[in-house]
Amino acid sequence: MDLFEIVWLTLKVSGAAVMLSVLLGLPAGTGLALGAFRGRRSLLALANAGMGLPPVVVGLTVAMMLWRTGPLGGLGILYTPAAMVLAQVIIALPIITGLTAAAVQSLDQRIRLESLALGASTPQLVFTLWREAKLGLLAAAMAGFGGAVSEVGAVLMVGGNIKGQTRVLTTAIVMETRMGHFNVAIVLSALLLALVFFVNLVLTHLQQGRRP
Amino acid sequence: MTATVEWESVKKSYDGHRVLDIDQVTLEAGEILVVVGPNGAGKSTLLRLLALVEATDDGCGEYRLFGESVNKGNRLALRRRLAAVWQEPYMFRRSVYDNIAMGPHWRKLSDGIIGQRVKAVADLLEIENLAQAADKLSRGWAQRVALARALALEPELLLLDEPLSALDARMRARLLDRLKPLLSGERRSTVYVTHSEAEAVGLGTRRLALTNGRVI
Amino acid sequence: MLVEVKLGIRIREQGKHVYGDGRQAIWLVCIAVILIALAGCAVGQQKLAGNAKTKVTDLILATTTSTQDTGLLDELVPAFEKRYPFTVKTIAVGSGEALAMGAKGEADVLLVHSPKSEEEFVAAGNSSSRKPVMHNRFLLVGPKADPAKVGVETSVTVAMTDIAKTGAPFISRADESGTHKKELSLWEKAGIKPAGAWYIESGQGMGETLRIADEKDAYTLTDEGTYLAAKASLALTIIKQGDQGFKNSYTVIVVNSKKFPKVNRDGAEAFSRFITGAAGQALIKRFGVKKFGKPLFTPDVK
Repeated sequence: MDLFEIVWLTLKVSGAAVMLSVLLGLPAGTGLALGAFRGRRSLLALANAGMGLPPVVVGLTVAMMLWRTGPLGGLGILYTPAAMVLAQVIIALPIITGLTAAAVQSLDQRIRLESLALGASTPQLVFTLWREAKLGLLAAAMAGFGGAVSEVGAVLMVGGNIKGQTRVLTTAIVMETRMGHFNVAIVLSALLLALVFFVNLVLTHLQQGRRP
Repeated sequence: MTATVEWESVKKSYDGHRVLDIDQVTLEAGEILVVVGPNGAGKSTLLRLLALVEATDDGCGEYRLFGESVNKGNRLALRRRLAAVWQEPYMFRRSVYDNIAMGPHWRKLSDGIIGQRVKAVADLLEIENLAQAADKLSRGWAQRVALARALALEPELLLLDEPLSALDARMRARLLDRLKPLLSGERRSTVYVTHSEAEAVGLGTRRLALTNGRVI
Repeated sequence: MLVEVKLGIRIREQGKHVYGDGRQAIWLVCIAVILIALAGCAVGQQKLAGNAKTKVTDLILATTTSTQDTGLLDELVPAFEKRYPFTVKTIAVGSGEALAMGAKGEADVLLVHSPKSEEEFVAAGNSSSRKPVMHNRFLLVGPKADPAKVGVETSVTVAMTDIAKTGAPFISRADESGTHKKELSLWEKAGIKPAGAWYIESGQGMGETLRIADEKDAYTLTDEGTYLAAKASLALTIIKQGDQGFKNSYTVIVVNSKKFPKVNRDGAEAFSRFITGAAGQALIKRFGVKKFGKPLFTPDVK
């Protein structure tokens, strides 16, 4: 069993999923926090509800969509890393959107006033808000990554845990345990913990900035 | 010469409760308009509306700023010709230098010019330590930095909401002396809100007195 | 990184923190770009594999957990892929689910061991070919202490009756798998309807079920392959084996591509040929000897 391959795939899949979720969720959460349009409250409630979405339900739904007989069967991505990224994005996106909205909403109202009065355009205002909300936003990213990388059920259903193709740390751990190879399972678990810890270390460092 | 501000029928409500109802606000070019009134009279609200950072009620009159009629298309351009100092200014979590440089930076001015302006304004307001963290400043210092932020933009219209209120009397007098020549001039008009009668008297004769959102 | 260095130098020169944090943003953007690019590669490789000039296509093989847990597929699949231009996606779920996938056309070829269900599958017109591949035995395993004293019995039927009568704990897979179906047929033969606190349904694969039986000092029915592969970490021992009714046969079924046009017919037929052909059967014959001292499966094709 190629340990490196499994760890690398885990990082690629969850990394891509979090990046996509941030790219989509950051603006979405900010829009929900600042916007004034009809249905804003309902959309926000939807995002927050999505945080509690059971990952295994996501997995089953995505798998059924990607089946040959399913509506997205034509894409042919079932049992590939792309499907795993898709499932993980569905899991991480509500987390990042909801937490971003909360972080931006709890910003001092004066920031908007000051920025506008100093001549900020809308993009400049948004970037300023994001900088001031750095703490909350990076926490959102960490939560999103945690949710995505620790997923087993969904990833197993849409990926199939195929050796050399869709086997990641979590699915490998389950499989090795099932086969009775406890030592291997423990090593994989330690690697997963180390991976999560390392990523969170980097993100925390970014979050805290120069403060010791 | 076109008036800087010409606004008829200024109305604003919060939660159905009307806080401002003024028939006319005018500021001639190169003048200082002093706005006085007790707490809660609506002075800060008026300033926010003038600065185009808050929306008015429907049914307001046309706001002519710098001779142009304000609409969605020119809001940003017009906003960039004015600068405001609020009562409780917000200090961004960066150095004092970065705070003052923010507005000019957003307008894509070169680093050289930004450096010059920051230095000039810091000298004027006696701000010495530019590298310190702005979010840790006392209220008095924060107000000075906020003033510096506004002046560094070299705006045509200055909107000042009790800008020296947190300073002690001596400092207030000193800075007001230095500030006064900058408040009116060839390309400068100011709306100055204050609750100090002494300050008001020193600033000029054009006055708008508000009580409960209306002019008395 | 060059951009970052240039920015860094300019910042130092001015002696002031002019947007030093711009550096951080650049870092973030670099990391983001790298990761997305890599992920793109991961996805791209898959697509490429499907559309490359060498025409390597995906083949979905739905099979039981016993063929995977024994490690047999880890040898069979690469050998197959060397000879044929297909990328095998092995989905190890248990005969019940595998047959269900086949019945929907979601799998191309099946490797299962559940004779009655297979016959129903063929009768429903879902298969275009069904061939025997290999076999081994089912075993009744349990705690060394053998509380139900079934080791001495000669007949399986009597053994199962004893277990039910003494209420000794028994773990059933209860997952529609081949092993589960076999277990149910044994209860039927003994005329017993298993129910009660002693009859525990795990709903899981063979590996997990063995583990549960191990923990609870219970009996269970297992295929020989999975048991031998897991034996080292179990305290369970073989209680009964070798009875006529204990044969465990594996078959390879090609899903009917006329009924399900999306099925990879070429790949499925190639796999079926390979696993019942000389090379595949020889591999099966050898498998397990080095690791367990004896082959785990007996090839069916002479």
